Amino acid sequence: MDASRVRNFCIIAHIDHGKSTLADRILEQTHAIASRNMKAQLLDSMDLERERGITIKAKAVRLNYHAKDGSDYVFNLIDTPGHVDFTYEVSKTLYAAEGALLVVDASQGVEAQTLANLHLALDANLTIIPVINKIDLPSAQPEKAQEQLVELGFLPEESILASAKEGIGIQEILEAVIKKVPPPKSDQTAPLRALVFDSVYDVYRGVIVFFRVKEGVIKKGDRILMMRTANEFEVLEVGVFTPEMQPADSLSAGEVGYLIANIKNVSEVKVGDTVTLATNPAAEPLPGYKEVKPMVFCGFYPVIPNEYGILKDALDRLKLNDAALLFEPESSSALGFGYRCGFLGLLHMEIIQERLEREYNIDMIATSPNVRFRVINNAGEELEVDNPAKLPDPGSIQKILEPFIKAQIIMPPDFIGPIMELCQGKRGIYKNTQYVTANRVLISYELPLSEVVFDFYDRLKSLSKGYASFDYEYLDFRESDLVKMDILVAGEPVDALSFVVHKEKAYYKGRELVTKLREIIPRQMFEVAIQASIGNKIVARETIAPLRKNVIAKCYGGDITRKRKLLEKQKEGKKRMKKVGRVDLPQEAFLAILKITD
Amino acid sequence: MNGGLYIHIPFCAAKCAYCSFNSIPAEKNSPLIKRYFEALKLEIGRSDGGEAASVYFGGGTPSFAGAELLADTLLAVRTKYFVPPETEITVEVNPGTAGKDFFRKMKEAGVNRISLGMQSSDDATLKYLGRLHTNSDTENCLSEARAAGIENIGLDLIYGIPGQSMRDIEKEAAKLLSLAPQHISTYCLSIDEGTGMFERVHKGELPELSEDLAADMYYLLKDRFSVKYSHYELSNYSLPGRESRHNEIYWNYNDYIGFGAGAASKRGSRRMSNESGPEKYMELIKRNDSAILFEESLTEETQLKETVFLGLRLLRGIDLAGWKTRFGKDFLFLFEKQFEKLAGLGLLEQKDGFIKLTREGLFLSNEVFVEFV
Repeated sequence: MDASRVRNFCIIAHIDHGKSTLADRILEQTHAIASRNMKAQLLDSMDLERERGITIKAKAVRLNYHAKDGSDYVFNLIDTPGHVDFTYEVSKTLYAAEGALLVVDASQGVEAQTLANLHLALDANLTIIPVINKIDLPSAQPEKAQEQLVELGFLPEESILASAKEGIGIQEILEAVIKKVPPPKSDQTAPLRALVFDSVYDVYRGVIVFFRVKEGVIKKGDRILMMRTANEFEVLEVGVFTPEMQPADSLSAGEVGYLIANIKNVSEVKVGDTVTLATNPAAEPLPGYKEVKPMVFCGFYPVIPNEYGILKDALDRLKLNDAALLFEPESSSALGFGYRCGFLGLLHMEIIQERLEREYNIDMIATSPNVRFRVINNAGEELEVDNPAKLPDPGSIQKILEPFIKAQIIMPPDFIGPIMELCQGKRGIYKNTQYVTANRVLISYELPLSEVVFDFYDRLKSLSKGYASFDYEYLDFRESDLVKMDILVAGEPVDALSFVVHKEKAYYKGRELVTKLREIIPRQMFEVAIQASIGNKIVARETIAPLRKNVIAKCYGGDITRKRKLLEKQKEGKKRMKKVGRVDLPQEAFLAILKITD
Repeated sequence: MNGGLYIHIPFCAAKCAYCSFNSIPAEKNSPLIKRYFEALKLEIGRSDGGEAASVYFGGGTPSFAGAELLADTLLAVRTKYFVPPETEITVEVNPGTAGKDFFRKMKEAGVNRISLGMQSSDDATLKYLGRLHTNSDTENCLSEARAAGIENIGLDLIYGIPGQSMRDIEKEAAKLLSLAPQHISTYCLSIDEGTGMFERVHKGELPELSEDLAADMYYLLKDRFSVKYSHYELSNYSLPGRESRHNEIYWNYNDYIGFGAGAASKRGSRRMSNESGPEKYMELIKRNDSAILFEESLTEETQLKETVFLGLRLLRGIDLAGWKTRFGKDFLFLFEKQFEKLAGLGLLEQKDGFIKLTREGLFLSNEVFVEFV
């Protein structure tokens, strides 16, 4: 293929600024609508796919575009992961392209993820085409968005005004891709180096790896080597999505596509790895590879102990398509057998939790999230602890380090006060303030991640009435004055309620948590004491008086079915609680710590 | 078929603020009420017939419909069912809706028991509850009924009303005892969704009574009434031999037939209930054979469960020998785990061949029942 007629690009945007709609519209303009007579065939193949249960999500689509200059071009539109926890994956995807459409909502303007993504794209040396989207909305202020883009270094005439919804500006965008995005370099003689930027698992075909050939050629039958993991595979198929899967003889430098090589698990294929030929390997892998490590942890426990196996199967299945999800068996004296799971961030955690509950219908208790701490003990040894309950005895600890992040928050200036107060309360270290435009201000903070996992995002949104947007990246581990707080219910320590907290906030948090727990835990048949302790020292205590009333003191005549159903409902409610010692704890109890404001 | 007969009269002069029963406000002597009684007669006439173990007119406010319609219905019952002499025939009456004439006609028709919706002896409280009567209406009603020769009279009392104090309950108890009824039913006010009161509590206009205070009131009433009356069911007290036979049919898990909107029946292992909207009920009766909207077949397991949670409502408890005769298995064999647990919590006990709630267990009875469902 003539590389000068190839354009590789992706779309980057803040959430809800219209990335997917624009992608759909580009697909329509270049493929499905242009080749109307192909439609029947396409549908057939889709039916076939459906029959076989194949629903592979294309991470890169090849499109043919007949340009105004009369020539035909090949576009590879590469999909970028949609949220903040996947910064590394986003950056690798960007390295697979030469250009990016930076979509900005005409009424919202530049947001935190707009900036974060723009910086990632500039780091990857991409040509940026700014697109001001949703200009059809009554609330659209394209000139303001344009002003903001000018502040970011773009020329006023560079921005394309568009409405993906109404199909406005699409042609102009496609023409700009041809004119501005450089064609890929194409060195086909060098040894193969292809960048892995994504992978998905399919029940029938195994793992489908998405890659960009940087140098050389890859073809069916090649024996390949993953340079970072040293795994070797035989290529069974290479090809492109158009959007249906279309095998090809070979893919060469500059092209984007997929390969299938009998790979069983997405964990065997690391995003950012370099594919080369086992027989003629490249000297060096492509730069920029990082081992992705989970940053946020929590425990998942089935409410009903014998659903442990179901939980394990569900996690195994999710893991097939999510290399970033880590889990290992864990047992809690309070909750029994479960899994400690590691996630890239809070959103990632929420997604997994929701999928377990919704798709796999598992009734489970999620413990409150925490970060990984680094503990240096008296012997000078370093250990990593991802469960507060497992923090060693305070006497044996020399120091504890915790991860810090760099947070960037964009908002209208009216909210600076409350948002800075929030960050200060979260032990934030103020870095700087920068006006993006007269009514958009960016503040940067360094924050302990452990503070961000507790109710930061929700409070940010409520304090700013939804106007603040937030993005972060990991910095480093820093020493902090941290202590472990234990919670005792009816005299028994509940390991799943332990948390690590900064010493200055310990008393306050302990007090607030026992108060919250007193509200959340239903009255039992006996008096229940709830205590918070640091080491052996009780710092707070509340008492739940025994239950005295639970009765249907009313006649419903002969409607006994209704009475029985009321009782069955009560029983269902009891079943959903976790018995810890003699006490029934509702699921909310394990997340109560998240409800405490600083 | 033999069983207790329940006849539902859904009409009231007005809906009370706390009421979540199947009732609707209606005009006195309105065509709606007359049409409803026509439908009732049709439904009774179409039923299988048999022997009545009891007859109970509940509501709503049966007395609001007037003596003629009730007597007429009772006649329809008698043409289809054998009602032996001495059979308990109860009519629910609201004070202010019935006088001398009403009770005379009821007595003539064979009614021998009145359940009087007194609810409170305090006029301010009655007003608060949205009741249309005063305490003197209650007292008049009571003496008119007695004068007419109806000597088995039950009074209903509501406690646990927002704002009520222990002193108020003391007064209610004393007043009730001074009226010397044969039967007392006490109901802890529950503020159910869909009632006027629920709305007001929800908006924060009314405080909710604390659970502890409600429990204290329950046990105070129990102790006051138990001096003269037998506390024979969670919420009910009677003089010897004056227990509500009709309600005992429910608690003993025997058969009953319900007529009217929303009425439920149990025949052996089947339970059914009618459409609850009066208009729809009438329509269904006119068009079809029955107005049954819900029907379930009770598995043996369900029957066991229900027998337990109904039987334990009686203070004497579940008769272990009777249980074995009925189900062929020992109660303690079937429910050993539950019994051990609940006995350990001090809610359930075994005494003289009966399994029963302890004193503490009475106001926590749902904690016990859920273990069995």
